[in-house]
Amino acid sequence: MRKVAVVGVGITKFGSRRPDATFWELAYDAVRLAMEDAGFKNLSMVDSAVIGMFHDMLARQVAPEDHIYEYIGMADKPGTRVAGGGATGAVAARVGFMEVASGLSDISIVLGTEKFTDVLNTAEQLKTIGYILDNNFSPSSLGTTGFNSFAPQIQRHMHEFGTTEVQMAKIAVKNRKNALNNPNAHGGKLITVEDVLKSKMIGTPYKFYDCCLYSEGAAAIIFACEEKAKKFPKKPVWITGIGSATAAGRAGDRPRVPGHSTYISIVKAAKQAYKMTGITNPLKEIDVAEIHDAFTGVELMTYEDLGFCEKGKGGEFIDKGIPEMEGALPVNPSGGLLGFGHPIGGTGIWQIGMITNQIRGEAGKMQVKNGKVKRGLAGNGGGEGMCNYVVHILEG
Amino acid sequence: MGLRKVEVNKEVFEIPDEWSVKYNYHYGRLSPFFRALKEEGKLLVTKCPKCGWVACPPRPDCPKCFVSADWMESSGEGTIDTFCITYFAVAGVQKEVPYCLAYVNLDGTDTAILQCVSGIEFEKIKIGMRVKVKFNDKDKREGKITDFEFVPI
Repeated sequence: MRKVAVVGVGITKFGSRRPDATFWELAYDAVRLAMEDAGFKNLSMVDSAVIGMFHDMLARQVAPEDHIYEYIGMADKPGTRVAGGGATGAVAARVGFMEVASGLSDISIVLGTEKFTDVLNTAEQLKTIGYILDNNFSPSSLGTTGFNSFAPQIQRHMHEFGTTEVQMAKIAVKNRKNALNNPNAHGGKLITVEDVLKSKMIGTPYKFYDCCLYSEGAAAIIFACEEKAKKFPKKPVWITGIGSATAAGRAGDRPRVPGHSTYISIVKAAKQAYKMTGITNPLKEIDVAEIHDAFTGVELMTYEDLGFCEKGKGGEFIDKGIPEMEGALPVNPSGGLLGFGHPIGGTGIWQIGMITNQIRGEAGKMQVKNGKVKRGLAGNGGGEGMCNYVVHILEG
Repeated sequence: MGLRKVEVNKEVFEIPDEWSVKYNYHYGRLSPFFRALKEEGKLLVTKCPKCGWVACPPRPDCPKCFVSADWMESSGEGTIDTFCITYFAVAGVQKEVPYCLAYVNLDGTDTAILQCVSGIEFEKIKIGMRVKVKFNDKDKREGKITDFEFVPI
């Protein structure tokens, strides 16, 4: 397997509504930014394109990728579209990695784009998202959607480990505050734990501020093989570990041990990635992480399932301030999905882009550890109760 | 030739639109479950004859042993694994908010089924609570998961 580096990053502004651009135009904008970062004038040097787009109904277009390849100047070359729920972006990145690692491509562009709020209103959007759940046993007519397919796990976690709503609220405060440093962020805001606790109940225990917003936007990264990577204007950032695991599409079908309070897909994906990189103590050996925080409790449980702390100690981990900007292991300095935004197909890709910027020392006000970041982790997942998760480890 | 440059209004132009699809959906090997639900008001589960894995939602094909499972009838009683009380309505949902969705581990099964729990004040719903199935009246059953819910025992 060949070494693979990130040599270009492009991330658009995220917003609750981007009526100024269609999905292919958002893709074009992200590609243009990634190209500029990589020192390209167009994509003629790029051998293949991988497109992450979650949801045809949100885009109002089946096979939306067909309308992107040529629009970004990638006609006549291999194109692969990836759809993997909330994990779409990272699954696409893994495919881009394979393009280059395998030798099929020397340079590959991975881009993720998503529209969302062309869908009429929040109730319709929740229904449309709900279609990802099993349509026989958990259809949206039953009242299922994103938040209530992720709330039961943290509810169980609270029951087993005494995790509190205050601990979750601290994550909402942290990530929205971090997003104020991110010029592209959708949801940056200074709020208090009390604001979170008093915000409108959405689905127990998640209140308004515990939930990420639906965003529109796009992100692109350019991967290159070792030989080519060294010729780019910016120092390559290497992908040194990848882990990926699926779990039963219905959370209730998973093994009863460890049960709902563990995201087993995260545990398995992390194990693979750490083995590939050679990490034995993630808290000490990882400098920064951008992880999936569609809901505060997801971030809290992920601290544990990525092995940043022991099982059941996620609440304590945030209480101690470890994932804060100045903490030992800053988590989501960009603001995460809660603060930066969740343009679904783009999410796993912007996470890798943000970690790349941290390692380059180019994260601006989001920069942690005075620019001395050697190794970072990006973790992106989705589906009912995290049925698919992908971890990327990046190093300078 | 034949062209002239013009000034245009670049303000975003919007139209209302809609997608809809009608289906004749078939349940494949899950058919016994939905037929029994609609026609007999019974809750069926599957059991792998080789490894003994019992599943509801039913799993007619065992993913470990790759053999066909046997169908069993459930008593309809089970225990709440975990739950969420939803306060924000999803379009098309057939219930008023708030409503409770819970993962229910039916007695004798190794999995949990997501379903609504009603007939109780929501503050009283707890993990570990015992519940039993309550089917909709026969003339209202459609062969869908919404044909039943759970209520406290």
